[in-house]
Amino acid sequence: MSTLPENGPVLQASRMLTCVLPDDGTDKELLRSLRSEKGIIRASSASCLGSAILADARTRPGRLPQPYLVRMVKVVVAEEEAEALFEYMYEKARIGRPGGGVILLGAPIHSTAYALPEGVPDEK
Amino acid sequence: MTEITYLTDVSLLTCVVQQGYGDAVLKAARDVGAITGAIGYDARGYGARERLGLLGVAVEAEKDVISILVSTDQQDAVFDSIYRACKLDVPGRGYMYLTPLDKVASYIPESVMARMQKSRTEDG
Amino acid sequence: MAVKYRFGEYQRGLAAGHREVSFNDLRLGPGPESIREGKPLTRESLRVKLTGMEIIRLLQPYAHVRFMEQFRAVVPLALYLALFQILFLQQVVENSWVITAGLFAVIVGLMFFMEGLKQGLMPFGTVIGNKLPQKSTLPVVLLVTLLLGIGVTFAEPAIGALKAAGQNVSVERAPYLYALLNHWSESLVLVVGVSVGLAAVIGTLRFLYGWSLKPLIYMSLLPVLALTVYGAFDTEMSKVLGLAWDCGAVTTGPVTVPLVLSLGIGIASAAGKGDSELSGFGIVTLASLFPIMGVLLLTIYVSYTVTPAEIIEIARQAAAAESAMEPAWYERTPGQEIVMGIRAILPLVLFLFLVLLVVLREKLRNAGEIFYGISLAIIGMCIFNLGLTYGLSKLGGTAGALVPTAFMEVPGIPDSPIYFYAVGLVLSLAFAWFLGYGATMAEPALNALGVTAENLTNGVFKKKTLVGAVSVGVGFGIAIGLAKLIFDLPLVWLILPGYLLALVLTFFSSEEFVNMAWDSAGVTTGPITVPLVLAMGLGFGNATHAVEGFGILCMASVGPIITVMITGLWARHVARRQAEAAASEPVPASHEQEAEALL
Repeated sequence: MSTLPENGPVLQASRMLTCVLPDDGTDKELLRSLRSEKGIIRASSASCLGSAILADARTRPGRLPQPYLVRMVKVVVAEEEAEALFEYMYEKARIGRPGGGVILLGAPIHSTAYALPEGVPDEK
Repeated sequence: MTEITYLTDVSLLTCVVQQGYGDAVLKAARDVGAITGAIGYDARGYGARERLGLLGVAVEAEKDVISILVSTDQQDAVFDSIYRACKLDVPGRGYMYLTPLDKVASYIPESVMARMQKSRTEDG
Repeated sequence: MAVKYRFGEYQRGLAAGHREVSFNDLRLGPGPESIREGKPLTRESLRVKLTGMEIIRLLQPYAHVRFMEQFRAVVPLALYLALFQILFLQQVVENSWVITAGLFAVIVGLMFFMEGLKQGLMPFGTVIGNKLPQKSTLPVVLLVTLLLGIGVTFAEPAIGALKAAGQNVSVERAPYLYALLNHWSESLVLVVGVSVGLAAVIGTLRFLYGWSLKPLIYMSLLPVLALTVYGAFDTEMSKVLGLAWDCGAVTTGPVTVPLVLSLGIGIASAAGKGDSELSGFGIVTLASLFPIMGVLLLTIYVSYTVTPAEIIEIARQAAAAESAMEPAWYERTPGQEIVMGIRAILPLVLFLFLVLLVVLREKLRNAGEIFYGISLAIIGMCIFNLGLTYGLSKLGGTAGALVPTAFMEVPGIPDSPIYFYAVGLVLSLAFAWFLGYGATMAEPALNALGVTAENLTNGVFKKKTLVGAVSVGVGFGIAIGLAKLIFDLPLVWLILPGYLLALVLTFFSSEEFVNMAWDSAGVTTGPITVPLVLAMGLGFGNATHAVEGFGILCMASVGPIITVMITGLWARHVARRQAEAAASEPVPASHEQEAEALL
């Protein structure tokens, strides 16, 4: 682990990728493969209520679509990896299937580096 | 590998409002004709409640956070509609912000895809 | 030449009427100078001053939303009762202005009380729930839980309704019931409180060790039923059974449930056991079963210390003394209600303070807000008590007294009976059914349970199904309770089959449904339904010359237990049938459409 540099944290040009996935375990699979295949650990998954564009289009005016439980996965990556990862995650999380969710690529941001302690066994 | 359809010219509009006003946000967006995907979750807010002294008890600490995907053409209309519908000019009611997005990908039904291709060939 | 604009630009132009201010220029806190000098931010430097108009705009929706919440719960019920009297019984509602004012007081009182509860008492519950298990040992935590159970019972708004009900009991005909509700009323509440405390302790242990609810239900229900049967053989004690069983429904209200739950869940999650989907259930069930046992045991104790003759004698002396001298200000309305309100809240607040300061050594954060909340809760309780006396109890009482005119002759009411016996009887029972059904559909706590149910069963058991099942159950419960009063059936013959059926269903149901079904019984009886139904039962009982008017509420508790479990079993049966059908038919037809709905 590195110590903090004297002039404060180093900011790195990055992007945030956000996925909204159905609540069927896809988010866990995605996080696992992101870490094992791409070495990405700046990722999180949270439970949300979502209503889909398609459901919204079908709802009568004046009514709101029925919301579903969904998972919101957020991943922060270096700017140059973002494009490739967008497609990787699209494939991995099977977003192209009906009801597969949605993936968003945000505008450029800055982020701090993040590291995990080594030698800690995985949670089951 | 299938071809990914990128959707561009899209923003993420995020509203933080007092709990219970989340549906009003979605209604306001639909009222100006925005057909959108949305996700919402609960959060705890800090700020107005602490700054208003004892009057702060009228500000609910529990917040609804609603994120809506809007096209850049519609974003200002939606922004204004939500501002008025949720009366964001009332102290402590909430705030919202627009995040520009590079691109979005999701499942697009065949019929919608065909319609989009048709309108593009007609324009060009 | 035509000028081209994109439509989006036009829309942007339409959305005019705004101005832009750079966030850099937004002076919300101290100016950039003091930030550069490194002055620390204080609460005062961040304070924002509002103008009078802004304050009104801030407070108007704050009050409006909270007022409407209670308004929606009270007014439809009151209208239903009043319209039934006017349309079917052709009676003008007596003292309608007093009752209207009383109902208004109920609405305002509950609005103040609920807001006070949220601002003043819940923060204690959260802090104690989070910190106590970390800072002290399990026995201390359980002791605090026990004491908290007693404190919340005293603060429960519906408890006041029990005491109010006691004034209408005739001492000659049910001496023990009279004694429990009058001279022993403090001990009665204390016993109920201890029972709730014990239930909270056992419920917390259940969270900790992941016990199944089923054996707990068997173990607590069997002694209760045994005591009930024992009591039923004693002519004097059998009159108390209704009260005992009703106490179970009274205790689980808007104070007990959230405060005890927040402590229980805090303890469980501190031990790393809080993430179970079922944590949070069960305490309510136990808290509605244990008080029954407590009250029955108290009755047995009372029956050994005094004889009915002594009670009647004491009551006669007290009545004589009362008429001889003017009651002190705190024994008359509205003084009595105010004293009751303060006595209900203050002990709980003091206890919470003591735990926080002595056991946890935590400082009180946001003291201003908490003080505001506690004041609101006390004011609200006082106003609610006034409304209880003048509004809910009167309305329920008169409605109860008038409903029998539909089918029997009631002295003082001309033209009674209004209908043929059978017609009037059906009308009365239908009245009771719809009262229970409507009051339950409007209960906000039930909605929350419905959402949990939907999540627990992954959407198989819809919120609507649960709310419907519970409402139907309560409707039948209240109708059966009313039938008990009309035909003067012994309560034990209704309780025993009802709960035995519930036990059998418990045995066959899955753990989730057992949890939901038994908890739904406690959840349904809120601070409006309880006084109304109690008063209605007593008024009805007086009019039909039944010995006592209790027992309706307990039937309203067992009703939903049975209906929810039956619905659950039915849902499981249907799901199994569908699975079998799907297995024989390999192509799932509508599967794709379903998936498409999910973006």
